Amino acid sequence: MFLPVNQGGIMNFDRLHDRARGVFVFFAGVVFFCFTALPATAGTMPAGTTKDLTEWSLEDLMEIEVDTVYGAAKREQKVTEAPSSVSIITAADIRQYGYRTLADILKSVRGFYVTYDRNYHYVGTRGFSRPGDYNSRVLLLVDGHRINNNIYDTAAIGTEFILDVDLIDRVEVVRGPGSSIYGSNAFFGVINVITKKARAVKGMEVSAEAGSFDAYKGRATFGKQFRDDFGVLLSGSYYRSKGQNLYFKEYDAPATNNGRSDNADADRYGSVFANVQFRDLTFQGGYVSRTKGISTGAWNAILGDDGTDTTDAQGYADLRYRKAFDGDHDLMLRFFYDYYRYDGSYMINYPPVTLSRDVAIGKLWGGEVLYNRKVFERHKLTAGLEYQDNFVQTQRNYDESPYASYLSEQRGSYVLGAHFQDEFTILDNLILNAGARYDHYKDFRGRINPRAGLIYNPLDGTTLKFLYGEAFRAPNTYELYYNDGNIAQQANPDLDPETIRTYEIVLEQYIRNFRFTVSGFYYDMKNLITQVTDPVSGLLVFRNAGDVTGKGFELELEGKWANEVTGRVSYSFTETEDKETGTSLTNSPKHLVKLNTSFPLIRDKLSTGIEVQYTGPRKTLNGSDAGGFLVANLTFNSGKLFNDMVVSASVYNLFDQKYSDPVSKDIMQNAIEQDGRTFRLKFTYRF
Amino acid sequence: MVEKKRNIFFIALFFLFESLALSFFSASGEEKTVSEYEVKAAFLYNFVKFVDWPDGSQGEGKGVVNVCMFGSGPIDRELAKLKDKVVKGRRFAVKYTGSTEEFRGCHMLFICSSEKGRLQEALKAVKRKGILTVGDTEGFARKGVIINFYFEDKKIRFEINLDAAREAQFSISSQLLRLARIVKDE
Repeated sequence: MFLPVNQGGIMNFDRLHDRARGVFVFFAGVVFFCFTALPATAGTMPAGTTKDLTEWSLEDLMEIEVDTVYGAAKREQKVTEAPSSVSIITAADIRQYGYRTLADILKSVRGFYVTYDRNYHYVGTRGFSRPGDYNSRVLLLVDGHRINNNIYDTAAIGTEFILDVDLIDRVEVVRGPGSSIYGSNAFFGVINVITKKARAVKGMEVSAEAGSFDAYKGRATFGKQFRDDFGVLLSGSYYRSKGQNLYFKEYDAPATNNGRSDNADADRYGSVFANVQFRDLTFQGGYVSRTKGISTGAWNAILGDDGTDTTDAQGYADLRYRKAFDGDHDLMLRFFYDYYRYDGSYMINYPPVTLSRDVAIGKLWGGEVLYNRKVFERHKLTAGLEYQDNFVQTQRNYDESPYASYLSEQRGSYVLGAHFQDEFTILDNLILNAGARYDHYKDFRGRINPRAGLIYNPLDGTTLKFLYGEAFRAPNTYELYYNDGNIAQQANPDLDPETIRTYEIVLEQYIRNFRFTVSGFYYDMKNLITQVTDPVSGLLVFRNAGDVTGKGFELELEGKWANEVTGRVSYSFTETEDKETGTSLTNSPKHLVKLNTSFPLIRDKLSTGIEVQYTGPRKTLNGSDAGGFLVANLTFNSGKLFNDMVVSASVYNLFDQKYSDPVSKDIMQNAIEQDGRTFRLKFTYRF
Repeated sequence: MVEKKRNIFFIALFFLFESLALSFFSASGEEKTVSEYEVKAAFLYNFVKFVDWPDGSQGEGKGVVNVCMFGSGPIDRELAKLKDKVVKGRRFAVKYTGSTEEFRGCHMLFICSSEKGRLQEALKAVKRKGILTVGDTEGFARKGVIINFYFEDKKIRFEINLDAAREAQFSISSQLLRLARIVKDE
């Protein structure tokens, strides 16, 4: 099959017309929002005649009738009132447990698990993490900015994540479908990473660390709140690791270096991040470039050749204006630009040995307007409009020498989404949260995703949530258009979005220092985009072929005590079923157990964080079983030494447990062995 | 093409609905009354008159009262208005904190509802630092916050956890205690 190069380039008239319309609708929306929002504020601005209340006596103050009894306080209780089951990991947790990457953080979250193929990390939740899926079914945000790229939908959680974990203030893990607010990718959940702001740093902070396999990392961060309305945070990090020498029995033959893969596992990245806040304006920007050696022989590359690696570079700039008005409403306007580049170099022995390049470039810009308003004391409305123009979505595949091009696809697309939510406080202890979002796409049918949650507080400290939600994921550029010259993989531009419906019940109970959570869920996925072998051509192709259901329950007990002792333990049970085969999914552990505890050993001088994680057996692609395993991590943190120095020492996989993660078809091995016991020593100094 | 027309129709409908909803609601919310948080800020100002900070603590501070806000909430604008006001010879300063590490230098700490999940962490961080904690979330006082606002017939009331106040070595004037509901640690 012959595919014309530049099939419908981005200057195609029809598309331009479409794009112009998208832009028009977006700006019309922005103008419209401003008009509806602003006149209302003019009337409620303090007239200046209000008597200065600070001159009133306490007795007089106590006689004032306040019209917003339904305290805004109530709507801020996000965790208990959110129409989802939410976990929060704070900067303190990151320090206490010695987390190095977002992947480390997610491993500790109830019901989550992470798979590593020595190139990327893959997050799984609710028993779903299919080998070959680049985290496209979880939406990753940094301060509300979408990180999933516009080629593969990748949510980068390993060393290629744009933010140094030391800059994280907290990570909010919101389970369940979030498409009713966020659109595509918010399929199983939303991971929102909140960054530290200038105030949290106060001057200069430098950090240096060294770990197993010659891993070194340095970071310098400057943060200063110059005035109440002006703060600056700037940070840069550099990391490099030599990696390990590995052995793969599947390759144990003289022709393939006897299964040895030496000096091919290196990992390095550099990243910068900036956040500048001035009055109601915030600018945020980040950039990361990570290069990882591929030591596994993936994509038919020569095992152990250090010329095989992938570079992922990602950057964004985000400018937002947020204004809160009197009368409990606020407006947010945001413009953003994103850049993504993937550059894979593969040494392949055709023969002769040839450097094969696989390259993708994604660029986009967009805007968002979001408006919140509380009305009638019992309704909190949120309306938003978002436009994203993917003006570059390029994929290439070619051999360097002799030059041969297999793929050169230049695409473009856009998405326009509008959403509306209402948080309706029906009774003092009963909230209905309902909303929907409509997404309009250039290439396929638009979709409405609704969500509804009923949140009931029968007793003080008890919260019951009944949740229903739908979500979708649009096929990405890679799934739609990637082919390697029809040697092994062909394109399928006719793909439709895949969808999910989820039902959940959550019970949260606070008793003294404990929080107890029980939840049960059921989901039903349709039109799942799945890589299959075409019966006619014999090539790999993505089809809307899958139909999957999953059900399970989760239990968690968290405790916090005043003397810095904290702990949490959770268990998750999940059962998935592929409706076509009647079997459970690959890489889907039935059982997950997590235990975390941290406490002081010597008050203010030394504390420890202990973490134990059990992952049940998982099926690999050939049906064999990657056995269950138990990993324990141990971290010690010093108090402040000398002036402002903090030292942290960690041992990961303390008992040197041997275990392997199931991997995709692109790797010959069925499962890839993971790191044994490793160490890290870290110094942080503030001045 | 029919599909696209329908989509535009949907978007138009969305805006129509949105504009109706907003114009209707904005019209109904115009009454000019004092806001809840304006009153609460005035309370905070008054508390300084009736509370003595522990001897030798940072809060005994000469000449200044640093009011810190932990978390996010609508009281921020009202607190900002307290800035540079003087009470008992001490000038108000306002600071916003996002993490417990920033409590250094605070004399009074207003803990927003948004930080319900981090309350224990916050209380731990203020220990022995001479920081007067104030909350406006049900149950906060019983959990160890010294002063906590609540509502009674649309009027703002406050409760005081005497155990917490004693432990933090604050002395609270009887004038203030008289008006408060006294609660104990849970």
